[in-house]
Amino acid sequence: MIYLIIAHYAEAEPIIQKYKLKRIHLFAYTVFTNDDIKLILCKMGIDNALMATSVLLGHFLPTKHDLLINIGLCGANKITVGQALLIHKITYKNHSYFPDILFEHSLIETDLITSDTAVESILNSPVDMEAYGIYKAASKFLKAHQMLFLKIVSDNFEPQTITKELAKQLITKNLEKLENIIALAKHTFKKDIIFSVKEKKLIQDISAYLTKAQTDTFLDACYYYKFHRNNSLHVSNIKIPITRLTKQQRSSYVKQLIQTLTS
Amino acid sequence: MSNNLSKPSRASLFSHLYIEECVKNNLLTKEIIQKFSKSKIIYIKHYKDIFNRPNQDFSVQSKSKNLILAKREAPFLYKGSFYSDGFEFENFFYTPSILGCLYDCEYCYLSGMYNSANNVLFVNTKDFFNALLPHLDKPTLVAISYDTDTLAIEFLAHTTKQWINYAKQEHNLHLEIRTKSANFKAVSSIKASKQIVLAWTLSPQKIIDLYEHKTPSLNARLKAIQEAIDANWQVRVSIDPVIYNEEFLLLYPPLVDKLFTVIQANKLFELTLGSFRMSATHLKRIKKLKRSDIAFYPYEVNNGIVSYNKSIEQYILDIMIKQATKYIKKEKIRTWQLQ
Repeated sequence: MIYLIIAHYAEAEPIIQKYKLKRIHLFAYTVFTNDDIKLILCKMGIDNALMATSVLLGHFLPTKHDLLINIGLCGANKITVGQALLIHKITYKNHSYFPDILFEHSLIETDLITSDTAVESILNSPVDMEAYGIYKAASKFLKAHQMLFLKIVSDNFEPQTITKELAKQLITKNLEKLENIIALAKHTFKKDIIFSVKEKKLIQDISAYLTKAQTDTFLDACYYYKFHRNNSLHVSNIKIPITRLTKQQRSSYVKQLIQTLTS
Repeated sequence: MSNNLSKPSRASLFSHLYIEECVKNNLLTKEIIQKFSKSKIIYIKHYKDIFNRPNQDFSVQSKSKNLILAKREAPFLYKGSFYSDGFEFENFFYTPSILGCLYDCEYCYLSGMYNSANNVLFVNTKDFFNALLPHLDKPTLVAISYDTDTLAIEFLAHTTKQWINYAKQEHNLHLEIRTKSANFKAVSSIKASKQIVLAWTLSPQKIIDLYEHKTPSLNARLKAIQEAIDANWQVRVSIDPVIYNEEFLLLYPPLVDKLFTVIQANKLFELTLGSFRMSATHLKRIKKLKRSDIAFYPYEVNNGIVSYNKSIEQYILDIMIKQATKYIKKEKIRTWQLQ
């Protein structure tokens, strides 16, 4: 799943159209979704971004295979309007977060300052108003490499020049880059599924006969078997008990399971 | 605040350099920045802001390691670990001048100890030497490659070379330099010293292929050992940890044979043998990475240490000692076994 956090509808509209996202309501928020994407409109500012991110991720509970992307506009000095930036450091006041960028890409990387207000004075680093809040909330759910911050330069510290139409244009122009980044990140962090659905069911069925400690030991042995043999658990000859087991039978059954899976 | 824009580049070793603000003008820092001119530079306040972040993925980072340059604050020395041999030195320390390893061994305790797979290089090496001074009134052993493999990362800062040169000035300082690298040439220009032991860890090639990612082959390590012995260095070979599985007999006794086919037994300083063991706390964290069968073997746990059960552990040692004593005197063999 890709979780997109976007401040304004004008920035989100090209993405909603491209991926044919359907509108749903999630508490007080407008969310757009399809099978692979959940996009939330967080509105402007750190607090709004933090709350919207918490609501989205807290509701859908992302897994280690998921990605969060904050896409939005930023002001920057001496960078062409329309340039896409990938952010490796987000600073608010005296504190910084560091998203891990662990894949090859062709974008410009830079640090970013998140500000409480629109910035009209020239700063060395690009400036937005949400990224810090998004990282702060999302880091409770995701690892540092699962969070990407893609910022499009909208102005050279002249925030009054930004219009809804410009926002739409800039995002549309960078849709391909967004797509590439998603593909790159997903490819790099693709993790093998260790147990198939059938194997999970088998583990669950056997665990129903075991104590918590025995289940942990059995599960470890299953992992050992999978990593060591690279075979399906179904060819390991482990069987689900037919009847309820006494304490003694259970101990002996677990011993046999471990022996089968780890020898 | 600097304008930290960098041009697009391809990811490579250390695609990102995280540099503490306080060492950005350090000479070594500048040299390293030059060596990695394509890396993106990110300035940080403290190395722990990166290295100790709670939400990192060790496995994912292992495929794309980054480098942190920092200034170490005390402590500069730690008492030698219970899991390691102190070689009867009254003073036995290890020193964390580098944290993290370029290699990625699935059984390594570092993946259970650190949140991050990145490497930290402390650029204030002299502070480590100064911290040792009060202890050097008697023979002192310092292991410089515990939380890293200094020879593997020698190209960065010549850390091993600096330590060896320092030891040569301090007659009570003895160094153990453990490595899996084949990089003997990094120190080959230095004259061998009795105060220094180069300790190579060897594994059968199949174990290297399965678990010791990014490390040199067995043959490359053996070649490096031969070169070191030819240059009169004291070389300890560690077949430790032995990873036990159903192929143990097919893999490990032939490794001993191969070692002594290449290396003259009487030229070897010592041979260390030991089977896999680890702190239970580290293993628990390694299990969470879910990437290796080694983490999930049904070990025994005694006093917070996981190891093979006593009979397997003894069996491993018996076989290995029997094989090794075909070539080398028993007095030259050291073993680690849970008491």
